[in-house]
Order: sequence, then structure tokens, then C-alpha cells
Amino acid sequence: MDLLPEELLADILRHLPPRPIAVCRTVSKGLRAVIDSRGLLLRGLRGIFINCVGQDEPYFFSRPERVAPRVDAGLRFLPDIGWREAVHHCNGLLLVQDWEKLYVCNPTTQRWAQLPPRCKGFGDAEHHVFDPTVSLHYEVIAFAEAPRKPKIPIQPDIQRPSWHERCRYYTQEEIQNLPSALRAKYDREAEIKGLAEWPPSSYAARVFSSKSGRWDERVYVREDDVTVTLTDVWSDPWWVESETLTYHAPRCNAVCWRGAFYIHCRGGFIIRLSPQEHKYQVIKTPRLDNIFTPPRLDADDYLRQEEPYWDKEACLAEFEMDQELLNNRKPSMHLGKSEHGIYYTALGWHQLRVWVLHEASDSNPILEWELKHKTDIKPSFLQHYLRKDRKKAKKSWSLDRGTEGSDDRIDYGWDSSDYGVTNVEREDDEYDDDDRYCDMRDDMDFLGYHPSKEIAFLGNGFDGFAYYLGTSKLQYLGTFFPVGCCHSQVAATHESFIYTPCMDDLLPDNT
Amino acid sequence: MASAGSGDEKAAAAAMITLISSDNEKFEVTEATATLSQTIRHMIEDGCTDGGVPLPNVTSKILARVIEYCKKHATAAAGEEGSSSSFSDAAFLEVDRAFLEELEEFDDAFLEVDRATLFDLILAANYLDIKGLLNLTCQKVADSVKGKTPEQIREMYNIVNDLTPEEEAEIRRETQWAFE
Repeated sequence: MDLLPEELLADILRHLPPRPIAVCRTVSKGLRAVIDSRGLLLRGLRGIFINCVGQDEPYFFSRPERVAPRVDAGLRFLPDIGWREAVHHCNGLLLVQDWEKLYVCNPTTQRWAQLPPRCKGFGDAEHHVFDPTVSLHYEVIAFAEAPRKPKIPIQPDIQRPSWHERCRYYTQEEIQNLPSALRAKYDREAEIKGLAEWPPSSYAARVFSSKSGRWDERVYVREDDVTVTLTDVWSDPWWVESETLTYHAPRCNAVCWRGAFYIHCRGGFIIRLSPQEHKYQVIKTPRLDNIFTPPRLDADDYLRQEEPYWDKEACLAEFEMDQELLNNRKPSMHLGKSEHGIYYTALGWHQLRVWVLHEASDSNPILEWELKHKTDIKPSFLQHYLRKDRKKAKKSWSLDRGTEGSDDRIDYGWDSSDYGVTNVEREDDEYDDDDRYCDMRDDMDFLGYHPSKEIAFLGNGFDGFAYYLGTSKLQYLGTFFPVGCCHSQVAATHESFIYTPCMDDLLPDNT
Repeated sequence: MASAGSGDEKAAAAAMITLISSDNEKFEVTEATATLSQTIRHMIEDGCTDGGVPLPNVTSKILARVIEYCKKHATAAAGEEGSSSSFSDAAFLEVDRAFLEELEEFDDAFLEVDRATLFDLILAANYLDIKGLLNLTCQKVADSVKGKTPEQIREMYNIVNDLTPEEEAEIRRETQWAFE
């Protein structure tokens, strides 16, 4: 086999499905190089698709590779009607929506299909299941939405302030002024309805299958008694109707792992779906009560900064307001897949908790979450942001807008085993002393996990970092600031999807 | 061997091409057979086949086999053209199917060769640019790998494992699903 030139070896490997290709990768260095350099196998991480608030397309934050097949990061092969976002990613296929349509596309092969219109009432949180090790066909699943919390209808005999007349429901403020009997009645109704278990034992979904080419009804049957209630769902801080939301809640992630499909849901649980058998199981996620402590700001810092203007009271008021804003940040939760399977991650400010799911087995009959990592990364972030030379820091990742030409400053050598972390002893002249006005945010975004190594990708504003769970080291990757974008002030990371390319699909070639 | 003789002989020779293997053996084939190879087709189009086509990368043993494949498949291609232009009744479709089956049997028998020959055929099919033959031979090698362990593949193709145990474990971890 060594006698054949690489191009012919690749030709042979192209005749194989993913599983034997993966086996061939462990045969020798030569074969591995042939497979990797041509991207013949979905394997590794290629980058992260990020939906930003206020942006008209997803960004692709990635590690540039000279040899791998080119990813059309701008998704320019899709019809462009001005706005689109990523909805889900699974094993190389990206689910994308624009104003009205859903598409399944492969950014590497640039093949795509437009799905027929879907039904109302079946969530906008579609997930798709694509596991090329099982079949090249895919399914898109949209579950029935959870019922909403009952709301007090507008009472014709109660006058409303004119500026609220356009609202279809009473605002929080108005509710406080409604007669207590009316409020009590609806509280009771919500309480009774909230006792209902969720999801129901027969969970309805609309499923699009690439085999049949249409949406069909399907019912997934619950396998055991574990369930939550609608009250749990409604009290989730990220539930669609939550009053603490300033923008629509980010979609929950879903991942394929060993033939099962895990979907993160609002209400403190995930669903473990067996796509073939049409069954599901509810797995409660770890409880997050008071696991994070809000960082304490230092009043002295405020006073010291304000010295030239010296208005002590205003200064302290500002300090208190900042502290309160900080206290009100709610933790965010994420489901992901990495080295040891299913990971549940909670972030509060710069604090991080990571659990790994241990499935029930013969040796261990109880399914459980193991707390794998618990840390506060703030000191590492500070160390980065206080460096005077950080603007010159080596960037190994960049924002790929799908345009030709490369950035010379990019270092092509990033690989996840490279712990290129600057861990020098603190020398004062290399650092700024003023940490209050540095670019560091009060909290961080979670971008996803490396699919096969325990590395979490984190965001601070538009700066991307890799955090190695094993060594607790933080590495700066580069920036995904939307250059040339006019809305950058309002932009923020909203949803992100770890992208692992796949060269194999049955999508039509529309080019 | 064709030699310059009477007019009739010349006409017959015009449709024939001489292929010359690396060990200098000469093979006379019809143009229809030879043009299954894109490489030779281009040479014919460029008019540079006078005095034979030297194929320094292909031995006589392999070239004989390649020609055997091309002859069979050239007849198949000619047969297809004939049937689609004239008849389409059931009897002819039946004949077509029988012919396709025969072709498949031929391909299967054709691939019953040792590994070294199979690789030589791949190299020749690539050099001569014969799509069907390249596909067929690549598929044969690919099929031989399916369902095998890395160790079996190494043994089968005499590949030295130059990965350290750590590297091998690491690569396996990346695609654990393939080993379950």
C-alpha cells in the first residue's frame, strides 16, 4: 500500500464509509496523513459557527488550515435573502434558517437542500440528527412546544395606562395593581396547570426525514418515570417567557453520542432520544442553587479612580449600581460533547462548573453526573487582559467570512495539544495596573467543547479562548470581531455551534 | 503484425493502434478498445500515435490485463449504443441484462489477482486514465479493508506501524465510535 502515491490512496479511501476510514487512520502515520490532509473523515474540530445578536449571518471562528478542504464559511452557496442564522449542527451538516425557510447544508461539500415548510406549534428549536456512521440520511426533529403559563386576560372594565394599551397582556407592573382576587384566581390556575408532567409520556414531534422528503408526525414514548413539571419549565430563568430575558433565549444545544441523541431542555433536564426506536428518557441536570458567588467589587477602586473629580457620594452610588447589575447576572447552562461523552456546563461570571454524564451500566446501575471541574477563571483572564503587549499576542484562530486571501499574521500551527500559554512570572512593567477599565467583561460566553479533548472554548466579548480542563490553563486564540460590520456595538455572542466537517452526505448538488 | 501492404490492409491498420509496454512488447488493439483510456484518446486526437504508443510505466503483464479489460468493456459500450438506437423491445432488454450480468461476472473474475497485481492495475488505470478500471480496482482494495482491525490491515498490506502506542491511543480516542 505504501507503494501507491497519496492521491491514489485517497481514491481508494473515498470508496469507504466513515467507520473503516477511522480504522485506517490508526494503521500508520502515512495513512493518517492522507486521510487528514484531505478531510476524508469527520474527526476533528474545524471551527465554530457563531450567531451574534444584531448580525445578519453566522460567523465562522476557526483555525485556518492550508491543506484541509475549504469550508465556505459565508455559506455563499445558499440562496441569500439578506438574513440567516445557524439553528443546529450535527456531524458536519448545518441547519440554517432565513426569514422563512429551513435549509440543511454541508459547508464543506457545499451541497444543500431546502426543507418544505414546517407546522406551527412545533418549536423554532429544530434539531437534526445526522450520524454518517449509521446512515447518510438525516432527520430534522421539531418537538411540540411546552404549554405557556396561563396569563390574566385583559379585563375590559379595568382601565389601563394608554402606553400599555398595545400590549396583549398585562405587564408585571400592571399585574401588581390588579385586584387581588383576580390575581389569586390565575395564580391558582397556573399552579394547577403547572403540576402537569413535562414532557408528556407520549411526546409529539414533527420529523422531516431525508428518506421520505417530507415532515411526518411522530410520537416518542418515554421509557421510565423520571419527569419534570411545567412549573419547573416556567421557572427556568431562560424559559421563553422569563421576565429576566433581555433578548430571545438562546436555543438549547443537542448532540449525538453513541447512537443516542441528547437534547438540552428548559426546566433543568435533558432528553435522551433513541432516534431509531422512537423512545426517550428524561435526565435531570445537576441543580445549580447558589453554586456561584457574585464577584465583589471594591469601593476603594471606585474612589481611587474618581479622585480628580471627587464626588464621593456619586462615586459610591455608581459602585453600588455596578455591584447590583453584577449580582443580577444569571448563570448560563450548556450541553456539549467531548472526550468522555456528554458534558453539562454551567457558567456564572467567570466561574465554571463541568459535569460528565455516567450512563447506567451493569457495573453502575445509576445514571449520574460527576462534577468534573470547578473553577474561577477570572485570574487567568485578568492576566491576559492586563498584559501591555496583548495586542501583539499570537493569534492562531480568526474570523473566516468566506472571502479569499489569508491573514499573514495568522499562525497556522495551532493544534489542541499545543499548550502555548504564556505563563510567565508577573513582572510589573509588562502589565497595566488599571484593571477596572480593561477590556475584560464581567462574565464569559461558552462557545462549545473540543469534540475529542477536554478543552472548553470561551468568549470574552469577541475574544476567543481555549480553556484546558486538564491543566486549568487558558490560551488566547484570536478575535472574532465582526470587521466591517456596522452593528458591532449591539452584537454579542448568542448561540454557537462546534463544527466538525464531513465529506459524506446525500444532499443534492445545487451549484 | 501489420505492415505497409495493399490498400485494404492499410484501411484495417488505420483503425488499429500499437501499444508498447515498458519491456518493449507490442500490442495491437482497435481504436475503440484503446480509447477507453483518456490518455491514449488524447494522443490519438493529437495525431501522435504513428509508430506505436510507448507506455514506459506499464509492463507487458499488466498491459495485457488492461487490454483484456478494455476489449470487454469496449464491446459493452458498442453494444449499448447499438441497442439504444435501434430496438427497445423486451427481448433486447433481456439480452442487455444478460450482457450486463456477464460483464459483472467478468469484472469479478478479472479482480481475482494477487495484491501486487491489483496495485499495478490501479497505477496503470490511473496513468492511462481509465475511469471504470480505476473505480473497480479501488473498490476492490477498499472492500478488502472493511471490517478489519488496524492490525489485520497492516498484516494484509505489509504496513509498518510507525505510530507510538500513545499516538495510536490518541487517534483512537478521536474516533472512539469506529471501534465500538
